[in-house]
Amino acid sequence: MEILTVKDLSFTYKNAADPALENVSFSVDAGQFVTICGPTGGGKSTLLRLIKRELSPAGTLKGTVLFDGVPLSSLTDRQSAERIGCVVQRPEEQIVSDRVGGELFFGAESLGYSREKAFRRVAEISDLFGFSDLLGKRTDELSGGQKQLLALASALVTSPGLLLLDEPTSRLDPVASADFISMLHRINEELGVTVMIAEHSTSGLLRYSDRLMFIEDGRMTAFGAPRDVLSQMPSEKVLSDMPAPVREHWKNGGKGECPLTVKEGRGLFTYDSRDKAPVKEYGDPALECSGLYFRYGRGSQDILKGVDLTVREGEIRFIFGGNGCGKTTLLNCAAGIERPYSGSVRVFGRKLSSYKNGELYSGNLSMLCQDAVSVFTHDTVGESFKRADLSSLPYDISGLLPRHPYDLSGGELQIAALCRVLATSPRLLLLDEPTKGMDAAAKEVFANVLRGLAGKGVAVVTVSHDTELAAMCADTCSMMFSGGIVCTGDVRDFMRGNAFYTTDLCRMSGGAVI
Amino acid sequence: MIWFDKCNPFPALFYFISVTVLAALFNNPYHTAVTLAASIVMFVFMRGRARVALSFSVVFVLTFIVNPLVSKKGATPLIFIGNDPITLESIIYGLNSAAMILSVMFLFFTFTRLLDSEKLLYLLSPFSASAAMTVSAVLRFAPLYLRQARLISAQQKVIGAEGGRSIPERLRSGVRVFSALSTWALENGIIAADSMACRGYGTGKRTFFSFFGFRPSDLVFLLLSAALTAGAAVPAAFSRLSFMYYPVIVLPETGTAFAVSAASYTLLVFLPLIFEITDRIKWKYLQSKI
Repeated sequence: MEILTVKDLSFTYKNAADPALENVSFSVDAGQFVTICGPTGGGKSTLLRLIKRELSPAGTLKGTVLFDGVPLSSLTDRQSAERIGCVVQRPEEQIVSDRVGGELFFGAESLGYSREKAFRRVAEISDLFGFSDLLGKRTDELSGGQKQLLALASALVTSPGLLLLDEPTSRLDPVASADFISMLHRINEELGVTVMIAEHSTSGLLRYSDRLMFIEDGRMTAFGAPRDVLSQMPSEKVLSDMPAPVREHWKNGGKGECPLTVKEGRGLFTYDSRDKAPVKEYGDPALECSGLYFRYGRGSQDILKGVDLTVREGEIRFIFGGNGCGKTTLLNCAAGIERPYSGSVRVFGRKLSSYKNGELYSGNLSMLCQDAVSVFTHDTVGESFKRADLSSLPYDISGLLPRHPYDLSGGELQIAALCRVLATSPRLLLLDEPTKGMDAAAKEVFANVLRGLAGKGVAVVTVSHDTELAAMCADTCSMMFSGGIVCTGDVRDFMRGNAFYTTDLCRMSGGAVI
Repeated sequence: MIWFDKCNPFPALFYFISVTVLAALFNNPYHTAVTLAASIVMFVFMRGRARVALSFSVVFVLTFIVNPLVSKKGATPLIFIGNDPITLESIIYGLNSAAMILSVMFLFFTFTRLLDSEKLLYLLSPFSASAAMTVSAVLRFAPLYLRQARLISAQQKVIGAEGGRSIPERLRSGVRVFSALSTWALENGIIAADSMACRGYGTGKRTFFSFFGFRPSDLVFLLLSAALTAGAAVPAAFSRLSFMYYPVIVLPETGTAFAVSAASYTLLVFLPLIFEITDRIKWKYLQSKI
C-alpha cells in the first residue's frame, strides 16, 4: 500500500529564478525506510518540507503529492499534524517545554486528546525510549543525543504514519547518532512507521534502508533498493557522502556486488601496506596545560581532573571523547574563557595572565566556539571582516560577504567563521566541533585549510567527534575521559587502537588505512 | 516537608493565601506570634540555611527600628529624640509588623521551595492551557538565551572583537552581543514555532495534562483548611477581634468568638506540619510492621 505518492513535483522558491526541485516522482509504500542523500543545497530539505505542510516554504509548486491517496492540500490541519511527524536538524531549538514530560505531552495537548488517550500514548512511547524515569527532568539538562531522542519520541506521540527527518544526527556524536539510528530502525520495524530521512553521514543507515534516493541540483537522480541504486556509480558528490565500503568499492573499479556495511566490506579490498606515520618535526610548544582542575562552583563536581596537554607549533591535535567528558571546558580554560582553580596554562611559554590588554587574542591565540554563528554580530558577514586583510585568508570568502550569517549553509558558515577567527592571525588555533552539519565535500575544504595553516607553523587543537575529519588532517590525537586525558598518539596508531573513535575505513581494512 | 511537597498544588496554594490574608487582616500580636512560630518550624523542616534566616532577621530588625523613629502616633511617649517622641504604641506596632513581615518571608521561602515550575503550570492550566504552555516555553528558553549570550560574548572576546576596557567601548560591545543575541533568538523562535506547528499547535483547543493527582489526604487538607479559615474569619463579623494600636492600645474583646477564631487560626497555621508529622509517624508505624 502506498502511503506517499509524489508525481512530477516541481518547486520554485519565491523570488528565485531556478527551480529548487524539478519533476520529482516516486512513491513510498507504508512501512518502508527511505534514505535521501545528496549534496547541501540540492533540494533534500525542500522535498521534506513540501511533504510536511506546516513547514512548506513560500513559492510555486507544480505536480501532486498524495498522502494515503489524498492530496496533501485536502488534508485538514489536524490530520497533517497528527499523521505526518517531523524531526529537524537542531535538537536544541525544537524542544519547547521545560520538562521532559511536558514535551512528550505537547502533541497530545495540541490535538486535544482525552486524558486516557494522551496518557496511554505517552506511557508507551516513554517506556519504549526509556524516558519514564526522566519525565520530571529539565530538558536543558539532557545531552544532545537525549534531546534528539526526545524530539523523535514527541513526534511519535500522535502515532504518525509517516515520519520525516531532516539531518537528525548531524549535530550528534558518533555514539549518540548510532543510538538514534537504531531507535529509528526499531520504530520502523516494530511500530511500522514509514521513515524518510535525509542525512549526510549514511554509514549506519544503508543497512536499514528499503529505498535509497539521490537528490542533486533539484533532480532525483536515483531511487530504489540500495543495492540496485549502488550497482551504478553515483556522481562524485554523492559518493563522497556514502559509507566507506561503497567508496572503496567504486575506487577499486566497482566489480561485483557493492558492499553496504563495514561487515560486508571486510576482506573485500586489498591494501598493500600499513601506512606509516611520516616523520614530522614540530616547533616549540604552543600550548602547555599542566595539572588543570576545573569546576563551576565550590560544591559541584570536578569537570577537569588534572589535565596535562602539550601541543607544539605546526601540530594538528584532535581531542576525542564522549559528551560531558570535559573537552569543551578544556578548550575554554586554554583560551582563558574559564579559569581553572588549580594548574597552569602556558601559551608560547608565557602564562596566560602575563598577556595584557587583549594581546593574547591578537596574533597569538584564537578560538572557534561550538556555535559558529556567534562569531558574527552584524547583519552581513562582511561587516565582521571590516578591518581584516581578506587576501591573507586561506579561503576565498568574497562571495559570502554580502550575505546574512543565518542564510549560509552549514559548511559555508563554518568556513566563514574560521576565516574570521583566522583574521586575527593566531599562532595557536582552538576549534570546538568545527564540522557540525557539514557534508563530506565541505569537510575536505576545511581539512585542507587546517593542513595549510599547520604548514605555516600554526598549532591547531580541535575538539571533535568527527573521526573522518581527523583522518584527513590530524597529526596526533588524544582521548579524553572523565576529566582527564587518557591517551595520546599519532593519528594512525590512535585509530588502529580504537574500536569506536575510529573511521569506518580503518575498521574495514583492519587498520591498514585510516 | 515530604507530605506537603507531594500535596496537590491547589490545596497548598489555598493554604498560603489563606494564612497570609488572615495574618494581615488580624494584625494582632497573638496571630503574628503563631504565624511566626509555624513559619520558622516549616523553614527548619524545609532545610532552610541559617544564612537565609540571618538575612531575613536583618529585615526584621530594620523594620522594627524604623517604625518608632518615623511614626509619631501613639499616646504614651517613653523618650524624646530631639522634639520627636518615641511612643510605646509605635514600638509595639513596629515589633508586630516586623514579626509579621518576618513570618511572611519564612512562609514565602517555603512556598517558593515547594512551588516548582511544574506545579506553577499545573496551577495555571485550568485558567488557560495556552498560558501554561507559554510559561513552560519561557522557562525553557530563558536559560538557553543566557547560555547563548555567554557564548557570544566569549566568542567575541577570543577573536579580539570585545574592544577595550573603557566604558563606551564596553557599552558598544555589549550592544553588539545583545543585537546578535536578538537575531539568534528570532531564528531560534522560528524553529521552535515550526516544531510546535508540526505537532498540531493551533489546530484546535489545547488541553493540559500533568502527573498531579488528588490524594484523599489532599482533599482532607483542603476541606480542613477551608473550614478553619471560615472558623477564624466568621467570628470576626460578630465581635471586635482586632487589636488597636493607636492612639492607645485596646485589646480585642475576649470571649467565645475570640477563642474560636484564635483556636481555628492556630490549627490552620500548623495544619501542614500536623499532616507532615502524622505522615512521618504513619511511615514509622508501617515500617515497624514490615
